[in-house]
Amino acid sequence: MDRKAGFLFLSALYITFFGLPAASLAAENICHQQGLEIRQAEIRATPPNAPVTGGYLHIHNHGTSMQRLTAASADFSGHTEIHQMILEAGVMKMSPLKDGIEIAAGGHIQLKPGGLHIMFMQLKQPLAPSDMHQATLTFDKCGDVPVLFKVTKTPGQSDSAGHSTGHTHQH
Amino acid sequence: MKKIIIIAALFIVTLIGAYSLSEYIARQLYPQNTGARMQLGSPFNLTAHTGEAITEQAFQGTPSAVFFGFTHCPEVCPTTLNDLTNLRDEVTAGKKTFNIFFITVDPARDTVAALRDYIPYFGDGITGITGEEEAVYALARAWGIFWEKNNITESGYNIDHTATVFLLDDKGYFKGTIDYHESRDIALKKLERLTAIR
Ligand SMILES: [Cu+2]
Repeated sequence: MDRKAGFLFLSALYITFFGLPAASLAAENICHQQGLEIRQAEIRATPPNAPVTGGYLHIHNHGTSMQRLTAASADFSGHTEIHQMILEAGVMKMSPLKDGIEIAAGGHIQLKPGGLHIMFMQLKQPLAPSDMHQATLTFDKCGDVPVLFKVTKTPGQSDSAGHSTGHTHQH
Repeated sequence: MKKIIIIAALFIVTLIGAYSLSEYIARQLYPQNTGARMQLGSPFNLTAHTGEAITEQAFQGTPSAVFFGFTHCPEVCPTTLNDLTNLRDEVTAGKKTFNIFFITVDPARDTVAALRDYIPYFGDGITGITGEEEAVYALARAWGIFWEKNNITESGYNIDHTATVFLLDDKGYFKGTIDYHESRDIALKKLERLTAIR
């Protein structure tokens, strides 16, 4: 409890003196201490008139306790949910995950096209390739984590040698 | 005697009924099979994203990749259209090509105006198809497409739908499909085979 109070105080100090980026850093550090690592955060670029898009990333949990991604939010999105997609008899079915996503201690999970994703809805602006946008992921134990997403036309592929353009998903 | 005739008549009527029902179901489930050549869907009179009238004649002369989707689609539709145009670039390098058709399952929101902006974003040679709600739905039904609204909120809805790409040869005959999870290599081979047919 003391540690949390201390963290809050420090955060307040950081925000006061260094603004938001420093606050982000502080929050990230807390999560790093708990062994959370987030990589290759990407958002699909939006075609004209598309008010929704998907966010994808790798979450590594190097810690000793399970972490749960419980929520997400972003300034550019009026409403954000955690979703899953399942291909059923040729039909892609999408549904919100009310309990979020569990990342086991020592585990890794990939949110990727065709599966788990952050669903950004009610987009307030188009998202163009190469743009960087910040979103906040909320975990049950380490709280809010600011994550910088890169906008790309073909997300979820940068981990496959970097030259694939199809939606190959086995790595 | 009369009784037997009535029973026999009833039996025959039931038999005919059962036969036509099974035929009907078979026709709903499986595309019309004309010899070895299958024709998917049905004739239609709809509107392309350019505002021009479009019919099933659009599938004549050049092979086609046909996909059903909607512009508010978060993932499957943009991914599929991106993949198809990327694959086509590779196929086109061998001098052969195919057309891409995107038929909406959301005619209420996917007006010609919405498609006119959306379609060209993915490249040339893609034709968006929309029109009167009932006519669009009839076409989707004729292709055996499944679609269902879900995640309905005050800001909109999502539509779960068949994510299969249908491949037609240059006469409009059904030649195969590409599944959403199929690897890029297999998809490329299928498209190369499709465009090599003469
Ligand atoms: Cu979603």
